[in-house]
Amino acid sequence: MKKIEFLEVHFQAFGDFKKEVTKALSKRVATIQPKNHVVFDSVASFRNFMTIQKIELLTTIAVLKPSSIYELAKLVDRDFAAVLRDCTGLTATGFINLKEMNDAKGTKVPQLKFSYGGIAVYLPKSPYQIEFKAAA
Amino acid sequence: MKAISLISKEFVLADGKYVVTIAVFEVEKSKKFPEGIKAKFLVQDSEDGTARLLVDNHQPFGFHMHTKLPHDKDHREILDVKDHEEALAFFMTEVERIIKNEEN
Repeated sequence: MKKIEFLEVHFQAFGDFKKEVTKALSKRVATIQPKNHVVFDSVASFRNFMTIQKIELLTTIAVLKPSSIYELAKLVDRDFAAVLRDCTGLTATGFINLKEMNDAKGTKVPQLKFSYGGIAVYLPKSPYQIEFKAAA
Repeated sequence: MKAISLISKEFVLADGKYVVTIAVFEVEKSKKFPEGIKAKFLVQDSEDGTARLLVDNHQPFGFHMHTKLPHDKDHREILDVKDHEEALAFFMTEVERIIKNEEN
């Protein structure tokens, strides 16, 4: 059975992030964030960002693999502008990529950043995981 | 010499509204990068994908910030800093200012 890969959400206070990069720069220590990590400044910040609508978009992208944002909007039955805005946010924060097709319509295909099967949220105390599954 | 990634970090803050990217590379010393370091410090507005503030370094400007992206890529404000650490400290202060203004 294929092992499910998770995108990991971690938390770090802004002050600690600042100290970490400042130290890395002054000591010239290689500090590379793993590609499967997204770091938020707080659990509250992540909760406010990751709405149910965005989780639905991620699940739909993972399971149904839409070929455009327009198709994704139709699949989740939301208006295109709102889906585009959510996709832009998910792209900037590192959950998805918008692959440019360079066609006449300027199509962008929403894709998971890598083929992860769920999101693992590493709370300061204990991690929990959400696995993508299509609705029954 | 191929560019070697020294720091590659991304940090999401303010309810996901902003993403801070710190990217530092060791590169061959040249006229463009006399210290052999290429740095990019970026705050991106995640809602529209635009760069809110970009600090980078290359000659003939040294450390400078771009504050009018994406409309005016050639607009630069030169920073009065002596090294990368001061430039990073300046950038972090600006990030805090952006977040503070957001909260008010």
